[in-house]
Amino acid sequence: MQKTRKRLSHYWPNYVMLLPFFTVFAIFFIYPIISGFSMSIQHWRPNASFDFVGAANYIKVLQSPRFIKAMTNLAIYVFTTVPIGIMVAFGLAILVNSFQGKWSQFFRSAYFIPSMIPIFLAATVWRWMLAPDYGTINLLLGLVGIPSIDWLRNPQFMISALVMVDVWRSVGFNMIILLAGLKNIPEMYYDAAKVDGANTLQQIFHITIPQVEPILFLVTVNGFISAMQIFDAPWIMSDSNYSMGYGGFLQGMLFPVMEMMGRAFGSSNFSEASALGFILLVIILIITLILFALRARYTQEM
Amino acid sequence: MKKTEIFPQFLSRVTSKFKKPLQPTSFIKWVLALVWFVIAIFPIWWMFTIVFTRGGGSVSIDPNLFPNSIAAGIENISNALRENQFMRAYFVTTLYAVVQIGGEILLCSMAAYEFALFKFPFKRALFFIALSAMMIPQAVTLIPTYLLVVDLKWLNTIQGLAVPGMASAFGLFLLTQFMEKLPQEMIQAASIDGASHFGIFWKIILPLSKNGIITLAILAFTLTWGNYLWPFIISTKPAWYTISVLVAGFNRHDSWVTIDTVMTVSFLASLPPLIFYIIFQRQIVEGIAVTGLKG
Amino acid sequence: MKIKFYTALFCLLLVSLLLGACAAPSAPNSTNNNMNSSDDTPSEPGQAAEEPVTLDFWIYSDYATGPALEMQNTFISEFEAANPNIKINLISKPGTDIGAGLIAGAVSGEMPDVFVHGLGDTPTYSTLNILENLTPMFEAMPESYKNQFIPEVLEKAKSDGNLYGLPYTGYSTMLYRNLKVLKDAGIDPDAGITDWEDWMNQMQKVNANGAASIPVLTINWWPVEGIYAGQKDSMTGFDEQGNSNLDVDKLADTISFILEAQELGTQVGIFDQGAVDLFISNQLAFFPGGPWSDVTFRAAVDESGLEYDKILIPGVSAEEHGGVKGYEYIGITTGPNVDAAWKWATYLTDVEQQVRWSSTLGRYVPNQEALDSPTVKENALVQLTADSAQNAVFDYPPYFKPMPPDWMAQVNDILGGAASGIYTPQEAAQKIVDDLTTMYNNK
Repeated sequence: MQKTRKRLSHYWPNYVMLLPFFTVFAIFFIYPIISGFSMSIQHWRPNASFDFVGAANYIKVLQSPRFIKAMTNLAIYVFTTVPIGIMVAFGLAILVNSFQGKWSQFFRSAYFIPSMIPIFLAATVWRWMLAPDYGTINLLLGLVGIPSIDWLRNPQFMISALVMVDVWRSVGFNMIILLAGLKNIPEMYYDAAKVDGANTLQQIFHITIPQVEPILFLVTVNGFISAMQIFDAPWIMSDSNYSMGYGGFLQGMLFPVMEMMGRAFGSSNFSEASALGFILLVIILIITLILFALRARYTQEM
Repeated sequence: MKKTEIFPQFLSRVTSKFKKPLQPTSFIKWVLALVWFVIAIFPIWWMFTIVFTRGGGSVSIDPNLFPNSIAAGIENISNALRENQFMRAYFVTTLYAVVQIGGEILLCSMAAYEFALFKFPFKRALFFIALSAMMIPQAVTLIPTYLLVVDLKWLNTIQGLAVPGMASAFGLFLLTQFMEKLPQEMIQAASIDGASHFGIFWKIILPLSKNGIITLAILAFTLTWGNYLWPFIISTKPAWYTISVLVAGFNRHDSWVTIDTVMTVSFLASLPPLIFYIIFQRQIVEGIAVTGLKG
Repeated sequence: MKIKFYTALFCLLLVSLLLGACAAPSAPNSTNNNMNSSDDTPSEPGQAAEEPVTLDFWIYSDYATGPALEMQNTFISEFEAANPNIKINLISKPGTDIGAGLIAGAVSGEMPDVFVHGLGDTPTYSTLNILENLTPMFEAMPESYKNQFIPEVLEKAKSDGNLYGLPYTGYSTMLYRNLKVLKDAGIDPDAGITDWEDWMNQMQKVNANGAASIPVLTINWWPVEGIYAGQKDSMTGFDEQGNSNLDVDKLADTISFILEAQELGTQVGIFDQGAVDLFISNQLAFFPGGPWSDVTFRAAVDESGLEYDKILIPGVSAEEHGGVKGYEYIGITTGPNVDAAWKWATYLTDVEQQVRWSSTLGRYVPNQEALDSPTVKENALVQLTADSAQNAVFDYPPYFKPMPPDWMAQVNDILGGAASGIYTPQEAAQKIVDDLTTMYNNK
């Protein structure tokens, strides 16, 4: 008792300094998670008392064709955009690193510019560039004899359009991180490799990749977590709104966060929306855990 | 550390390219670099071009690669600026960014000060709880936070927009990383001189963390300026629309807005981040690299 | 010790600021959030009976731009001069945002006092119980006011005998023709278009001459309805038993006709900016659209020398014509400001304002007295709209009956399926009719 009081009197300035952060954190992060979970297990209406329904909301969401479609789209999107994005970013990092001084700086600066453009603007500009017949992309395709593709309305291509926008915007960011990793690799490794007669490709696979592996892993995890929550670009590019429908033709651009927003603000079903949010949380946590497990196994084998 | 060179053979070719004919690998390298340069820049350039193109109303199907009329651009821009709605959105977005970042810096730097420089009970647990927020998708908290904001009667207010984002796990992480590198001796010296706990933070640590704070401010600015999802549900009145909500609304087929207006507003909306980038390029690049490497 | 005191004070200040921020706006009359409008009239004590009110008035964005906005502002200043205690706060929103805003408002409490709504939105509102029943106030009005509206339109705004909106505006779609494209293809525009067959012939000529016939219509139910209406006895909506009134064979014919026409067209959809641009730049011959499109095209006449006209949408035979029509109403939400809102709503819908609105903007109004006035009779666009409405089908029935929120999207998907070959026109038509009937009865 005496000891605790003494400890408190000793440490209270530390806790006081933490108080503002944790007050806001508790109100706008911890509390919403708890209240969100409580909403997801009841039939919530404004100003109504607690009406427990168990897992009914979860079951309803999991069984709805729209949610399944949204998850399918998400799986295709995530497993395309994350690998492509990282490969391009890694390639660009090596490319920029191979230039010297001024040019290296120039290309690094230029490649990062798209990352400064907010997603809503990127989606706005690309929406026009992807227009059928006369959009820039289709004009370019026309030059090599490919007929016009309706990127934003043909379900076969809608996700590719989103991948294009995402890769365009996000590679600059990842490139910067990877580039910093490349610069930390001691030069002597390459000198040794050259003495052994390793070519450029061998150097990349046997020195560069193992050396930046922790950073590649981090970039991958971050890429997954943010790609799983995609909303702005498909919402804008599919001309979505609550009353005329969202997700585009045949729900080709429907994603879980859009479906969550639609359930909440389109049809006032906040309980199902909360349940959907928690389902997404569980999926993201599982994928993150799998990624960490895979990495642990991979590094053990090394 | 000295600048690392991955492919010395490449570099020797580049440096001697004026003496010897260009080697094939070097040539391919330049082609690749220029191709991605065009890809990266073109959409922004195209947006700029449309703003400065004489409109006959059919710009969307008339792909100009170069601006053809400065007068048209000035007219487009002055039209947008005269439009009350746009200036208002610009103001709201700036206010939103300034208030949120101000709060974020204050809250995060105070907490980071403790986590980086002191030992106290439950420190690791608290830090872990705060950082775990980075793994939780916003989707989980979005709906309940919205309803909380509704209960507080904070819809269409600056506090509704800005306050929920202030306790940023990312900001805490970045500043803790930064402050850990500060010399402990200065704190000890100061406390011997009788400076209080808060006094040390305010007079010594904050000024020393200037670079870290600037980095956080710039990164947070780009995120806040571009945030769409949160203002989309909080700003239900046009008076509180941010740029993102305004531009996204223009994209709708039932908004009846023409492409030159959309692109002009988009162009103006992209200026602040781009100007920030030109001025603070070093801090931005280093900030991202540091957070990336340490994670 | 002294400085520790400051630490505590600082933190206390921070927390209290936070709490203060929480508490302050929950005080009544939180209109101080609305910074751009001049509605922060301080309420004077002792004037409880004549308490100033500010009405939030939500209106479609195309009703609040350019000349329409000028007209709205004129009305507002006149009304405010006559009613010094009422202020009107005009808020323009894209059409579908009004519906979405009301749904969100049911939870958040951010509601307009008065708003414009199309009948297509009524299914959602009726489940939310946010519309004020206007019947008692309407019955109390003088006969001269009550009798000016077109009875059929007034009837449409009733559910279970209760009135939920005052007739305000209406539209009916028409066919815009680019005369230069037609002449270049060797078509005499003055001959008009007699029927679908003639229309298809013209589209073939246009296509052979290198221009596009029509934009893609199969992305949305609305333009497809407009073509469907060009057949005898065509109806949308539902019968007494809850079955869709659509005729499967006629709908299948319509879809076949549209798909054939789209072969001669462009990939650009009817709602894309590109479609308007193609039309303006003489690359597209036909554009089916509402009277609001006329504003854009009229501007292009001055800017780029566009030559165009508008006619009734051709039907399957010379006697028939197509078109989609809909009416907009002024609705009032339940709340403390109903009386003031009613004043504003009756002012806006009264003949004097309706005549000015209609004749200046060329917009149709469902107000018989206004339509009969000489200045409105002279307006060609209003008359064409009125003619089009004779044959047109209603846009988004059922009205006032709840439907799944994504019912339109489901129909649009079937149309898209027909366009991309997933369904034959016959299958698509059958599926649309079946799905509509199922959706209507399930909810």
